Amino acid sequence: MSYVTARGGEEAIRAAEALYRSLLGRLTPAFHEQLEARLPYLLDRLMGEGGVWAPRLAALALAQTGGDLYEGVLLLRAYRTTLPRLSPALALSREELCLLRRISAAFKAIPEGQVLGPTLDYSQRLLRLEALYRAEAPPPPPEAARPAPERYPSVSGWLRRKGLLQAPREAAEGLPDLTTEPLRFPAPRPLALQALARADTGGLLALGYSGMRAYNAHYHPTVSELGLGYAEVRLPHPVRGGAFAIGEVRLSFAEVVAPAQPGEPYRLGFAATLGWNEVKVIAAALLELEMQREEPHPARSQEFVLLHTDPVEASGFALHYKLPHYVTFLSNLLAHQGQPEEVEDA
Amino acid sequence: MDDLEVLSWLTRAEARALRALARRLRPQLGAARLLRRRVGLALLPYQAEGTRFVLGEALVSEVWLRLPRHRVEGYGAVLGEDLGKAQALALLDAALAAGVGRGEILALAEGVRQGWQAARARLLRQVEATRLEVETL
Amino acid sequence: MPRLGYSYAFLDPGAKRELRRSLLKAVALPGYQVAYASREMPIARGWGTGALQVTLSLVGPEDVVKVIDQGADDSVNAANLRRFIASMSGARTTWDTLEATLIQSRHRIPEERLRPHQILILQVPIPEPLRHVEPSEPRARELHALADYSALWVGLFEETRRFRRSLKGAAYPVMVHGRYVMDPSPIPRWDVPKLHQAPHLTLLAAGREKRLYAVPPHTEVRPLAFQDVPFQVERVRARCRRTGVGHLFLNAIPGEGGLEHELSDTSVLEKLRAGRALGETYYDLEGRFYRDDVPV
Repeated sequence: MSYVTARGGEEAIRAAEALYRSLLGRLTPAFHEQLEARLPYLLDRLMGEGGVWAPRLAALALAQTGGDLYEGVLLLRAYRTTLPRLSPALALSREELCLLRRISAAFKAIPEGQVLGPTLDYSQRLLRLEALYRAEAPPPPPEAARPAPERYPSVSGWLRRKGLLQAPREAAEGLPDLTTEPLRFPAPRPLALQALARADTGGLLALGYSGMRAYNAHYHPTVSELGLGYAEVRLPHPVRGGAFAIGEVRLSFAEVVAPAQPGEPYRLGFAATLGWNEVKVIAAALLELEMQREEPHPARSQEFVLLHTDPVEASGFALHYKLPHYVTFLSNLLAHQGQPEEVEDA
Repeated sequence: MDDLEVLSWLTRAEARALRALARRLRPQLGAARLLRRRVGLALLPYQAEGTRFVLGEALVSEVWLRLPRHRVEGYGAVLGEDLGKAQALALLDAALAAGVGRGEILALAEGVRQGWQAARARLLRQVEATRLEVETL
Repeated sequence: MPRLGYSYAFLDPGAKRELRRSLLKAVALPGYQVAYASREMPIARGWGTGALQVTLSLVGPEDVVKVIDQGADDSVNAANLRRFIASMSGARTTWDTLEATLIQSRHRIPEERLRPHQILILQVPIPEPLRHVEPSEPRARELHALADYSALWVGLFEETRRFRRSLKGAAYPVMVHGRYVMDPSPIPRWDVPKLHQAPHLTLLAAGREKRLYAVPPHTEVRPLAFQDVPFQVERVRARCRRTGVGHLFLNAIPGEGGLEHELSDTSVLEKLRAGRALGETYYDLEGRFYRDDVPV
């Protein structure tokens, strides 16, 4: 009977949306400001998967969907398709990032050292129950006498100079862009890296974890460098020539290394994304490393990973199963069951 | 500080301060003709590991205008959806080109620079306190 | 009036140009899947975003748009898409198949015969007919290039040997103009013969999968079948509980005393209920197809 009641037009659609919105309550600029200030990691996940840096819009998307991340990413992606492209920003480069967190699991001492930055890594994960009843201000963090460096040399560059790492793969010409061309396989590395940058955090984690835990766990890759920081966005000035800074974005990157053949330099896997999202870049870098193998495990092949981890496509298709399928269902049923009573011999 | 640096610091100013200064200079600038005023996306290429790829896009507001009285053009762009801020920046850029209010604009940029750098230095001192001290043998 | 603040028909001119070029390529190579960028639309991905992009790239203010989902104009997703297309283009909308210039459809071809000036745009979930025998896209592409469809023929042969028929219901694979095997989208087999030598243009679009393909007017479209085990459409021996009609595709509806049936095509249902004349239909009152060179 559900099919019958599912029919029924525009009034029901409008009423359903109205009900959803009324249960969420008012959207207020103050609330969006609060979200932006207080839930940066949530916003970062949304912006990374949406592929667009727009904190206020991400906050609005969260508020408008009651925190449904997949709906929120869809809102951001759908909005971005309506916007014109301005001049591209100057390329952000690893060397110019201002890092607040930079660690390496490969070597105890790396040039410029290991800096934990803001992290919960070595904290005890205890709910601060007292904050349920009264406001709790965080204690002021200690300050060193001198500031940390803003920029750090790349660990992979250092490893290469020591002959421990393979040379970077050949760079492709031009700047291919997934939002204006479809992904075809084998995908050039820039498109694969862009797809990973926009991919669903949970999807990358599941596939990456399957490789870490069991399937293809023939070696143990090592995080040679993990960084969280700020990148300054610089736009060309159309009148004066030259470029100027228009603000900063948060971003994260991870580099992992693993042995190739005995006696040969290590191979490197790399990933970066908009926003601070460590688990995503670690999983993505491991997958990037795996994709380079001659015959990766199917769940680590480029095609499998990149086609199945887009949050908008995967969630949209999963949700489409709730659409009416009565024609297809009946057609398949008749084909499968042969000739039930209602069907006359043709 | 060259003019592009000035603009770079001004983008970090409070929108309110930029708009107030632009309003003050307005009588000396005369009418402005808008050439472009829009919110759009700037591609963010990322260069690492010998590869250049699209990390994502950034939402950017940009305004491009002309001051017929001074025969100069100004351009302003900021991250985000604040077209008013971009327009104030474009007016100040045009003012710099026209030699109007230079002292005041530089003073604002210098104030922003000092405030921003002090905050960043404090943050980096806090970051430095999280450094893992390792013995090197 | 189209909605202000957005490009006409939502898509920016660059996206429209790319879509139109890809559509021209698709028309020039009947049944061939053309890859295109596929923009994200403000409806869920996998809910008709591909066909929506095609509709929006073709629609003009003079067009009359019909949107159906599983044959029904009043289905919720169809209503939502129609509302969006109308608000973004200012085009008029209709439920009447004959009146429409553009028909966006999920999983049905209307029962009334389409004419040369009409364009049918079908929503496609999985464009690749080889997907279930070859999940890898590059390898499937190679098989298309070589016109190597042996895996499909072998599968059909095995089913025929074991069950004396194909188990494929909706989305029955077809050979287009003797060259490319094509997934006609999950239309029932009842609708498949309507594509053969049709006077209208059919465009098929998969937004999530980023593929477009086409059946231009007067194109050979043959379901994959063996000479001695011909293709068969679904035959439901019931009658529509509202109109008494028994020769068109019916939906099964669980009723008080077992299954009841109702016409799937709302345009036809509404006309019959209002006593209005139907257009020419593909199947006549005895269930005979309008062309005799097509097995049904």
